[in-house]
Parts: sequence; C-alpha cells; structure tokens
Amino acid sequence: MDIELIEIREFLAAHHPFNQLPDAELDKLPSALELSYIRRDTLIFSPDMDPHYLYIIRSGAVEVSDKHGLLLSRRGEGDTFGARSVLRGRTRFNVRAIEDTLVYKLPRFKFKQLCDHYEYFAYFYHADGAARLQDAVQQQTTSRGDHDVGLMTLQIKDFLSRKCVMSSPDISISAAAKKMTEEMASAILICDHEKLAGIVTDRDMRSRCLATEMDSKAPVSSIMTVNPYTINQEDYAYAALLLMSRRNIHHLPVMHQGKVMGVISASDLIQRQSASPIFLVGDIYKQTTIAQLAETSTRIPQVLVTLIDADATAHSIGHMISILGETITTRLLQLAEEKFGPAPVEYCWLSFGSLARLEQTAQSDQDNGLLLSNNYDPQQHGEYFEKLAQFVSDGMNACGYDYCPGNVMATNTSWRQSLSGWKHHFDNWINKPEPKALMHASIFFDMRCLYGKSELLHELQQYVLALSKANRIFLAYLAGNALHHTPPLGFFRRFVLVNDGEHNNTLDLKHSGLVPIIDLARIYALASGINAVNTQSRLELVGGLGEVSTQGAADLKHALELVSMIRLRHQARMIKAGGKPDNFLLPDELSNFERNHLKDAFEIVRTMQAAIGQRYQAGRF
Amino acid sequence: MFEHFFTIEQLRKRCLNKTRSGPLADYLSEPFASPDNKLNQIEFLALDLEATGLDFQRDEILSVGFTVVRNMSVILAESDYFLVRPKQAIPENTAIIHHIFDDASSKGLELEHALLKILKALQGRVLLAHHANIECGFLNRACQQVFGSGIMFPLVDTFTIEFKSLKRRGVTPYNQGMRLASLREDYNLPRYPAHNALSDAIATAELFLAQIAHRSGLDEMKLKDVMSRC
Amino acid sequence: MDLQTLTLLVVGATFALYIAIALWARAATTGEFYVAGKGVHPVANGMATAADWMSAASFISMAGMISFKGYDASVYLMGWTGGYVLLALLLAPYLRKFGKFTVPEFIGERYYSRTARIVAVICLIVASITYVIGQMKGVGVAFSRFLEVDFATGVLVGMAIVFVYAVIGGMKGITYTQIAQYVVLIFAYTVPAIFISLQLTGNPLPQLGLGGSMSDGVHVLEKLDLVLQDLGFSKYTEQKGGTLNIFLLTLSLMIGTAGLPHVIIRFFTVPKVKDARSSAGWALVFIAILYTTAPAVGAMAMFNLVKTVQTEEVGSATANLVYEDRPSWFSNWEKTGLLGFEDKNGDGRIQYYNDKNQEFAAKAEQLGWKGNELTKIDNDIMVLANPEIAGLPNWVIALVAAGGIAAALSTAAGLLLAISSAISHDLLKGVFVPNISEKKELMAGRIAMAGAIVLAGYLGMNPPGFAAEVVALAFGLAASSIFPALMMGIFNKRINSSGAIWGMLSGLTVTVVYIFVFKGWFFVPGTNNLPNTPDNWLLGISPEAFGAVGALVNFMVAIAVSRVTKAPPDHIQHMVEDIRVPKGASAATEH
Repeated sequence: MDIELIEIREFLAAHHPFNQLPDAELDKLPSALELSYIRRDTLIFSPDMDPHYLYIIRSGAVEVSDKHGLLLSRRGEGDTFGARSVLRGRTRFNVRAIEDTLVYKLPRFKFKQLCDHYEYFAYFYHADGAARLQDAVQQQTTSRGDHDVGLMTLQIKDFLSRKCVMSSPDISISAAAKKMTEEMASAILICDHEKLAGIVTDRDMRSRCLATEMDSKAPVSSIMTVNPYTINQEDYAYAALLLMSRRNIHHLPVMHQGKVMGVISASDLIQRQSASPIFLVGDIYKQTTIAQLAETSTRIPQVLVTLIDADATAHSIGHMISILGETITTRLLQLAEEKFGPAPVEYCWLSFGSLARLEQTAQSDQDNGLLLSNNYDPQQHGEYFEKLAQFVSDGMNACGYDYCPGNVMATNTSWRQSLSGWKHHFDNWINKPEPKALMHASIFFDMRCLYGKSELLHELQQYVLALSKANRIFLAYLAGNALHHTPPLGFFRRFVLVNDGEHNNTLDLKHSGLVPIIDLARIYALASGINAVNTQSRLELVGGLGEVSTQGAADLKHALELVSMIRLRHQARMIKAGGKPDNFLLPDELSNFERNHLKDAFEIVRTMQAAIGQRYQAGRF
Repeated sequence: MFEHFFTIEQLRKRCLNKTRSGPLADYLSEPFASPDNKLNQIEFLALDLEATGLDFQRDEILSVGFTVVRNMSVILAESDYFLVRPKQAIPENTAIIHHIFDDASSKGLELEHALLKILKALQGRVLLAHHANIECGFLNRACQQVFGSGIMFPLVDTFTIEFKSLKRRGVTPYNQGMRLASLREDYNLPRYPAHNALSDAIATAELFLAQIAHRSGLDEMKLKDVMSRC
Repeated sequence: MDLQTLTLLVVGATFALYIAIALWARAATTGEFYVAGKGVHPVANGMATAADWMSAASFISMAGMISFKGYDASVYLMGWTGGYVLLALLLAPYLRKFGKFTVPEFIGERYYSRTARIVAVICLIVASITYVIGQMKGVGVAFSRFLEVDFATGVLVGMAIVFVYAVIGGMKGITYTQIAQYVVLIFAYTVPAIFISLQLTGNPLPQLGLGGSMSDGVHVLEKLDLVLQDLGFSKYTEQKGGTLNIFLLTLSLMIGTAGLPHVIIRFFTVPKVKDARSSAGWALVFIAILYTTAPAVGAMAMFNLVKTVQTEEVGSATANLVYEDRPSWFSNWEKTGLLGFEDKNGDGRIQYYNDKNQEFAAKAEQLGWKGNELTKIDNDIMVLANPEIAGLPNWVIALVAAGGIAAALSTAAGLLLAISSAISHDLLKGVFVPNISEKKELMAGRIAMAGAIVLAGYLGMNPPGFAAEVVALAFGLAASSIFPALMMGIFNKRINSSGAIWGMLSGLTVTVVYIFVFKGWFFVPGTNNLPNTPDNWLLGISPEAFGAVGALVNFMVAIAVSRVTKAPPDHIQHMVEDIRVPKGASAATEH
C-alpha cells in the first residue's frame, strides 16, 4: 500500500535531511505521517507546550519568533520546525503560519526513532552544524537588545538598491577615485570583460595609494584586491556579516550565476539592522538639534521596507511608522519647551489625518493643531504658542513632513485655539455643514493628542461625538462626500484605470482604494459615537451598532488590510528601486490571485457606498 | 423527495429496517455521528474511487482509496488503497485516465470483499468526498448488488461546501473552477497527480481541512453546518 | 419630420442632457481637495427645488382642471403655494435644528418611540405612493400620446423609464440635473402659453393676456363665460363647490405638503439656514412662473377647445365640427383612449355641451342633439394637446412632451428614493432586522422602489381621478397624519408618544375610510359604498378636502390622549424648548 503514497515519499526524498535516509525507511515514512492545514496567521504553537510532532512544511510558510515577539526565522516549503522542541520535550518559540500552510506531522516517537537510528539525522537537528551557526547570529542580535527582523531572514539581494560602481582595470587611480566620489560609493568593482577582477575600497585608496605615495596616474588595478571574496545574492545577510567579520573586510561583491550584481558593505548591513522602528524611536529621543533629527528621520523609509519585508500587517506597519512621526513631534516639543520655557497654560498638541489615525506609511504632509486650555489668553500667551508652533512646524518640515498646503498647522491661528474655540469650529462644521468645507474638515474628525494634556482632547471629542451622533443632516453631508471617491471598478468587474496624463493606466490605490474605506469608517464612528480614530479599530467597534452590519464592518476591515498591503508592497518595491513611493499601481504588478481579491475588496466598498448612499439619499447632498 | 424532512438518524433506522441481516445491517445498526457534534470530535473517511466510467448503473468500481481524518488531521497510517476486480473488461479510454489495466485489475479484490473493507472503515465515520454523487451512486449500487439493498451514511461534500459559500457571496461558480485541483490551488494547496484513488482521497481530505480552516473556525462549526445529503 | 420622430428626438435629447449633466457634476465635484467652493448656489438650488416641487400634477393636470372646473380649481394653486410657504417658514428651520432630515427620524426621536417612527414611516409611504400614482398617470399620458399607443402601454413605458431614472437618480450631482429639468419644464410650459396668448389677445405675457381683452374688445374671461353658458355649462368664473369644501381643500393641500419627504430634504441640501431661506425664496419665484401661467393656459385651452368643436354660434346647422374633418390631434388623442367621441344623434358632427343641465335640455332637443358626444375628455390631455389645438409648430409640441416627462421624472425620482430609503433603512434596518447586511439593505431598497413603481403604475392605469386629484389625495393623507405630529412635536412639548401615535393613526384612518367610501376601497372602481357626489358628502366636504378634517381629528385625539397619559420625559421637553431657541448661542458668546 505504501507505494500509493509515492507522491509524499518523493517529496520527502527531495528534502534535507530526509534525503539522507535509506530507501526502505523512506518507503515506510509516509504512512507514519499526519497532515494538517493551517490557515494564515494561525499560531501553531507557543512556548512551554508539550510538543508532539516534528512539522514538515509541504506548502506555505511559517515564522518562528521568541516569546517577546522577536522574529528568529522563517521557514518555507520543505523546511521543518519543532525538532528541537521535540528533543527538549518543551517548546521554546512561537510558530505562526504566515501563509496558508499544509504540514506533514511526524509523531514524536517516530522522529526520535529516526534520530536514534540515523546519526546524520540526529546531527542535523542537534545544536551543531547549520543550527549552531543560526544560533550564533541569533545570539548576536538578541544580546544587543535590538528587536531586529533583518539579517536572519533577508537575502543579500534585498540590500541591492543602488547602482553598482564599476570600471575597467586600466583607468587611473585618480579617475577611479573621482568616479567613487561622484557616485558617493565607498568601493569600486574592477571588471575585465564583464568578469570580476578585483575591488578597490576607500581603505585601499588610503593604505595602498596615499600612504605609499603611489602615482595617482597608475592603473587602478595596481592597488586592487585581486579575486576578492564574493557572496551570492541568494545568500542570507547574516552569512555576509559572518564572512566580513571573519576576514575583517567591509565590502563584498555580490554575484548571481557568475555575474556581478553589485556590492554590499558592512554599513549597508548595519544600517539595515538599525532600521528597526524600536531602535529608531530610541535614537530620535537621543537627538538634540533639528538637524540631527532630520538626519535620523531619513531612516524612516528604510524602516518601512524592513517592516514590509518582514511581512508585518499593514495595520501594524501604519502603527509603527505613525509612532515614529509621533516621536519626532514629541521630541520637537520637548526641545521647544527647553528653548522657550514651560508652557504658560495647559495644552495638547493635536495631529490630524493619517498620523492621527495611525495609518501613515510614507512620510506625508504635516497636519497639526494646538488645543489650549480655556485659560488661554491670546494677549498674554499668544506669543509663546506662536513661537512653539513655528518651531515644531519648521522642525517637522526639516524632518520630511512637508508644510501642509492647506495650511492645517498649529502655526495658523485658526487651528491654534482654546477648547471653546475648537468647540466653536466643530459646531460650525456639524450644524452648518457645507460640502466643500466639510471635505476639508474631514481630517479634523480624525484627531489624536501627540503630546500634552490629553484630557483636553478627550473633552473635545466627547463634545464632538455628542453633536455628530445626533445630527443626521451632517452625517448625510459626510455620506455625500464619501461617495466622491469610488472604487475603480467598472462594469463586468473591470478595473477603471487612472487617465490623467501623469499616471496613465494605473490604479490609484489611495484615492480610489483606501480613502473610500477610511471615509466610510469615519461616518460609522461619528454616527455611533465611537471615539476611536484608527480605521481598523473603528470598523471593529462599529459593527452591529446600527450604522453598519457586523458582516459589513468585517468585510470592510478585510478590504482595508488587503488594499493597504498591496499598496505597501508597491511602495516597498519603489523604495528598493531607489524611487519615491507613490500610490499608483500598474495592474500588471498584481498576480491573478491578488487581482481577484482586490476586485472583491473594491466590490465590497462599492456595495457599502451604495448602501450608505441609499440610506442618506446622499446623491442629493 | 420527503427525505429532507427526516433526520439522518431516522433515515438510518428506516434503511436498517429494509436491510436483511448481514454486514450491511451490522454497519447500519450502529448510530451515525450526530450532526450536532463539533467537527474536531468527528472522524471522517475521505474516500475516492475510480470506475470504468461515470454511469453507476452500468459501470464498475476499479479501485478505492481512503484515508481517515481525525481531530482535523489526516491520519495517513489509516489510509488504504485497493483494486477491485470488474466483471467486464476495462474500456481503453478510461484506462488511459486512471492507468489501471486489465492485468493489474484481475488481481484486485472481489466487489464483496472490497465493500466489507469499506463498511468497516466507514463504521462510525462520516464520508468525505469531492463531488460525492459519484461515490454515493457507486457505493449504493454495489451494496444493492451484493447485499440486496442500498446503503446510507452521513456525508460531507467538499464540492457542496464551496458551492454554497460561493452562492452566498453571490458568485456564480463555473465548472472548471470547482474541480478538485482548481479548488486546491485557491487554498494554496500543492499540486498532486490526479486520478489515483488514494491520492485523490488525501487531496480531498486536505481540501476539507483548508475549507474549514478558512471558515468560521473549528470551535463553532458543527457537522450539520457542512453536511450534505446523497 | 413628423411629430412622433421629432418628439422622440427632443425627449431623447433632454435625457441625454440630464445624464451628461449628472456625469459632469460627478466628475467636477471629485478630487479638487483644497479648492475653496461654496456648494450649490441658492438660485440653482431654488430651481432644483422647483423641479422637485412641480410634479406632473402641476405641469399636466393643474391647467386641465382649471379648464374644466374654472375658478374652483384655483384652490390647487393657492393650496400648493401656501403649503410651500408653510413648509419653508414653519417646519424646515426647526427640523434642521433638530438635525433630522426625514420625518420618521424626527418623529421617532421626538416621541422617543419606535412605534411612532413606524407609524410615521407607514403614513409617509402611503402618501408618497399615492403621489407617485399621479406622476405615473402623467408620464403615461405623455408617452401614450407621443408614441401613439394606448394609455396602459404609455404607463408601462413610463414605469420602466422612471425605474431606470430613479436608480441613476441616487447618483451624486442630481441637483444639477434637476436644474436642467426645471429649465426644460418651464420653457415647455411658457413657450406655448406665450404663443397662444399672442394669438388670442396679442399680449405675449399669458398672465396679462388672461386679464386683457380679445381682438373684438371683449375680455377673455367674459368671452369664455359666454361661450360656456351658450353650451349649458356654468360660468367659468363662478364658484361651484361649497365654501367650506373649498376652504378645507385648500387647507389640506397646504398642510399636506409638510410631510412630503422629497421636498423637505431640499431644505437641507444647502448648508446654511440663510442660504436655505434665500433658496426657498427663489424656489417660490420659479414655482410662481408656472403657477401664474396655469390659469391662463387653462382658460385659453378651454376656449380653443370649444371653438374647435363649436365653430360658429350654437344653433347654426354648420356650427358643429364634422367628425370626418376633425384635426389630426383629435384622432391621435382618440388612439390613447383619453378622448372619446360617440355620434349619438348620427349627424356626423360633434356636439359638446352640458347634457346634465335641465334648462339647456329643451334647447338641445330642439337642435336635435341627443347628448354630449365628447364622451371622454381626460383633463390631463389639456396641457399636452393645447399647442396642437392652437396649431403651434411641431417643435413646440415636442417640447411640451419633454417638459411633462421632466416634471414627472424629477418628482417621481425624489419620492422613490425617499420610499426606498424609508423601507430599507427606517423600517427594515431600523426595526425588523437591525443587523441586516448592506447588500440585503440595498436589495430591499431596490425592491421597494420597484414595488412602489409597479403599485403606482397599476393604480395609475385604474385611476380614482386624474393626476391632480390623486395627488390631492396624497396631500390629504399626509395632512391628516404627519403634519399634526410634526407641528405638535415642535410647538407643544406636552404631547407624548401615545398621543402622537393615536393621533396619527386616527387622523389617517378617518381620512382613508372617508376616501374609500366614496372612491372605492383601495381605489378599486365599483367598491365605493356611496356615489361620489356632493349630496352624499359629509357637510359637502369632498374626499380630496377631507385631509384637513383628518388633521383636526389627529390634533384632538393627540391632545386628549396626551392629557390623560404621562408627560414626556424631561430631556425631550428640554429638547423641544431648545429647538425653538437658537442653538449654539451660548457656545458662540463664550468664544
């Protein structure tokens, strides 16, 4: 009968370490297996459980992380996990499916049997060999306390973003130096007819040329390192780091099938390691000048790429990137208070829009305001807060959060108001709604306190929600506005592509994908008196409260995650390619599977929009 | 057509009353799994069979493969596969599909012997198949031939599960996309060579696990939520 | 080009225009995020309101009624205009302050009761559907004439078009489409009126023409009185119904307006109270253009009709039109079944006179007339046939068709949207299935819309009266049920939920029963208990006018029930007081 399980046998035979087992054992192995299907995002086991199986991944992928959530490794098809847990009799890590995963489960006793019988098998799984290497790198990262996702799971090719600087062996040393300076490169690869001949680094220039007073007209080949160590682009990053530290070198040419693909430096790797949000938050607090903050904040795009590569959810990515913006703001306010002295009255620094919703991805314009206590007297305290606002706003601008073109900034007196002044603003928006004005004002309904006395905001929010909940006319206006941006889906579920001359034949993932969902969630929240501002939280809270059905809210939440994720991946691709991330996706970038899901998501948004349109007769507003 | 008004237990008893004593009656005398049981408390028998054709009135069973699903895991140790000896020669056009030729099949089991194995495996379990009409039809016909009356069993059909959920989402399922292989692809399951009864049975079992994992979750789902009727 | 093709072209062109405008408005309002703008201008909103307001009843039927009923029919003018003012001044500002844009929402909140809300929804749906019947009748007449098919087919075509239009009508930018509809409608109404006024009086302004004199120096109205009296009809300018009836009918029409959802919502589509006021003012101006033209159109159309049939002095042997020589418009309207001729005395000529008039009977006998031979003239054909009777060019006739359809469409679409929202949201989601999925909610709305159209279409084909009368019934129902609940909700804090519910129910029931007794149960012809004539009416009050009585009953029941039951909770009483005091004043001064 075993012969009928031949497909499974063949699979095992093709993967390490099962391929080391004798044929007779392999023949018997399939019938000992059990099979499970694990849905994406399901926790397979967590620390301190009694392990029963060795897991062999038939298809899909899982992520192993320690109990603090630090990512240790990612395993894919043909990999195994749970081995050392079985041997120790206790699980140590969290293992979570990151794709829909089919696993073969080898029962504990059978696995132990194999380990007892076959030395190689045991060796593979014991803390030695490959495993020991893995442990070493793991140790290195954990001991630094750096919650990093990078080096264990990233491949060298993930680091190759900039163009590689190359030259032929016969150009002069000075020409090579000039080229390196122009390209801001710390190493140049010397190629002879497409074949890698050597490498010259900054250090070589210094020690082999300047220090020896060599003629700078001499050919560059005279100072190059011949036949340097190289690394393949499929190798993991930690391998490069190990090689560099072992050989005390800082640059490695990257190869792919014998061809030069680029060069990777130690600083590329280090930089990536520090491209962890937690690390960056710490760094931001250490900066003492705007210039330093600006410098630090240039690392944000890299953090984004790292997080996307680590397959974090769009929700958590938005959260982390927004926290960085919040941290920069906070630091700026601390610096401002150091400079201008403590605030004369209590205040609350507000942010609006995506930063407030915790949904920022790439850095965008700053939208902020100052909410001052009712003790605020413009005559007496006006100057202080004006200076404060100007300082923070300039600082944000320097850090890559451009000035808001609509002037929604604390520097604008309209948005630097006492509590009753803000109440008056909201009174106007809600009780005298005007479509255009509301469209501009919608970001004010997504507000969060970044720094200062959050009770002030809380009071304002309670006031706003009480008004908005009761005023259906206002909600109808919001609903009318929410229908401005419609999902790009035509008849027969075809994509409707942008055709504005600049981004032809693309999908605008922001305005036709995310904005409609954000708008809907805002209406639901305001109508139900929910004070959450994050879109996902809003959707989680409003379902079934009367404004939207449980099913509808859940559907929208999934649509949101899907569209956000597709947008993030698109942006990560652009950053890696060295460009500035945008929201315009070519449909060809999508797989069939993604395309169908995206259409489903758009369909959901369309239905929800139509429903709210019908309810509020929104076509008339 | 009134069958839908009866519970499956009532149907089993009716069926038992019509059956003369013997292996089939023994099988039917044991209660079926309750539709109110949760899925992870139920054992399934994923079964697939190959036949000389698709017409169960005329064609004959050639091979049977099955495996057990317990606690929502496929237990390969309890899987089985065997050939069945048909009375007539295997038509060439079907042999091309399932690669069972006369000389191999002549070493197969007698139909009665094969049915005994199936009944034993099915006892206390729920039949799991993809597009179960075929399996239902052939098993029923075979039991009529061998034991003089038809069989019945609780049934879960992965085809029906998918069909219903597509309908609920307002999608019109099209035939091509509802085949076992295409559905497996939708659930990120690996490609298997088709048309071996055991590998199809395993493939069906995996698809079932995937379908359930993607629906409201094990804790809430009961047998009645996924059960079909023959 | 023949008239039919031309009409199709003109109607088609106006449709293309509406859709193009809707698409343009949609595109224009999308995407310009930081561009300052003002929303819809009050003048534009006034036009849109006027289009919403003026239904097929206003466009098609009112003048027709005036033609046949004379002076009496002017109550429609007064009632509807007055109702509009009432709504604009008395109700809309308070509802806005309350933050509710539909009546059931207001009533549900004010009377803190789901039951009250359901009752209000039902009253509204009944009134709205009745109103849609009038629109269906209107489009049916227009289509049947210009497609040259019978009336039933015309209604079916109209139903299909209204449904499609109403589904599209949910689109953004409908306001701009309605402005276009107003322009089409007002042109279609005034252009033929000007032509006819010029023909008859030499004065291009129909309003002045009506008061002026004809080429022979006799005043138009005097001349019309004479002509009609010659045929045994009563004087055009004479009051025929009882004064009480006239008063109550006017009142019903006025207060019935208050509850109609498609008009109320218009007051909220301009952002500021100030703008709402000025747009209401503009709407009144735009409505007045048509309403002041209507009496002239009615009188002149009647004059032309009689003159067509009775070409010379009564008594002259050749004075009556020979049937075989009848003009083409005559035969075309015959095809629709809305105009009928029967040669009772076999002389091959058409006699149109009042055969119910005993005094005139002797004269008719003497002339050899055996009864009125125009056995059927549907009032609704008057406006549409008017340009044809006056022999105006074909393009004017085509324009009138487009105008009539525009009037019916804008009103029907507004009502149907309100009905579908009321059923799917207020009733289904609000009461019966709170967690209904959005997909089903949408579906329910569409089904409700289709259902309302089918029902209204059916009742339009088997009508209890002509369009304006059906609409009058709708107003009566709204007047008896919703208006009192709204008024008391705003102005009397003591009214509680049971008072309101019982008030609405009794007002509606009294009115509905009274109507059914005379008009047939559920308007099915032949099921009426009493003949629908003034002698049988209670105190001479016609069913159309009974809404005001229903409203009175509503008021009395509500007040009585509220007296004997518990007062509304404090927060409701405060709320009612707050509505009438400017809200947010304290916050503003604090600032």
